[in-house]
Amino acid sequence: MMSRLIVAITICLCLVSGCSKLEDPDAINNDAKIQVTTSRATLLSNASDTTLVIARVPADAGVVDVTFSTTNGKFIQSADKSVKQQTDSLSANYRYARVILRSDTSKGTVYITAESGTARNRTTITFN
Amino acid sequence: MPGWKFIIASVLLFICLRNSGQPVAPALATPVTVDLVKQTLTDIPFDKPFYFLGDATNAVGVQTIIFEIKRGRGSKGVYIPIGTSTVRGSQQFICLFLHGTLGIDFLLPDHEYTIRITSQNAAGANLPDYSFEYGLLITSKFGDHTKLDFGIGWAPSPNALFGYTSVNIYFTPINDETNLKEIQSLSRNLFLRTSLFMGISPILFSSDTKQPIKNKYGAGNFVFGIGIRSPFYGRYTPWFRGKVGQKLLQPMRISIGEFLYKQANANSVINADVNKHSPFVAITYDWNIATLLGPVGKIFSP
Repeated sequence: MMSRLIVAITICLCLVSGCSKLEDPDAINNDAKIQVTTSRATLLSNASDTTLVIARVPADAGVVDVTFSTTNGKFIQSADKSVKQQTDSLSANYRYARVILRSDTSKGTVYITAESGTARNRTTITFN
Repeated sequence: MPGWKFIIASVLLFICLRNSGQPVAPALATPVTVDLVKQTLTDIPFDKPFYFLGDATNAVGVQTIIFEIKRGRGSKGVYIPIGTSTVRGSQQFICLFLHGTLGIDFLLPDHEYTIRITSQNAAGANLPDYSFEYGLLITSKFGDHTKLDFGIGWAPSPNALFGYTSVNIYFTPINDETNLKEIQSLSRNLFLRTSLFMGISPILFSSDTKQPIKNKYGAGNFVFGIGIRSPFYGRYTPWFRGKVGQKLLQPMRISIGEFLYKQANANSVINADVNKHSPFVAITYDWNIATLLGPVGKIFSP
């Protein structure tokens, strides 16, 4: 009886046993990474034109801090070139953090970066 | 069938008793002291050879002692002879319990037996004052079902080498002094060698993963599975059958099981680690291996 029990437990263990698929950053698709977009592709370089900058993370990330930074212009929320916001809104499978970027008088391509933990992504707009 | 070493031991014992008149205790066997006057025995070990040893100084007239045993207590069962001992000049007597006397290797834990001891004088007449039946239950402690071990495991999926310690739970009590080589029964070998274990792995020596492995709990990762004690030692293995083999290979265990761990999320924006599991194999040693290492071993004593 006990011998059979031991064999049965061994078989059960073999059945439940198995490997989990390992975590592979290279297998993460773009949708699941941090994304940053702007509502406008160009701004007038008049120190008053603005655009909405949105960072998007997967809902699984929870409420996290996102640090926005720009090479030109300033964020209204901080009056500076960088600002930290939380992903405070949830929609579908994503959470969002928003800031508003105001242009300055410089012209050319402007890089806007969103960063959360070690994850980061960037987009560009043009000041005309 | 008795092991050949025990046959030789018995022959030597017989020769010693005949020639020297002094009883000689067999090596590795536990003495069970017989008091003919008080009609008592000391505790009998399970899964281990033993011999009856007594002093007939106060049992006047006793010349021969017949030892018999049966399973269970009370009137049921049939006595089977263990052996006959003759009182020598030193008034001492000794009788070895051999393999296979009851169709088993040794007395089993948590089983009842009755020992019948019949004392006779030189004329062969029974001496009731020094003859008795002694019912006994071979007792084990709860702790005999559990053994602690430590060792190194390898999980193929994360290619992780880790150290762990675990509690092994056996289906039968384990006597640390049992020499597994002397256990002939296949089923008894299975019980004495197979355990279920669960434990904690606080040390990760190496791994080959893109994302780091993290502790599932504060103390480490969780392991569980089945352990096979002494896979390289016993009557079935041809090597290291001596004392060194018993000391070094008997406390060894090959374990297979499941390694539960956490891994950093592949998505760096998600802080939460991900639960993972992988089968693993391991080589472990009982904690009492520490006794082999002398003073150094005390470091490892639980």
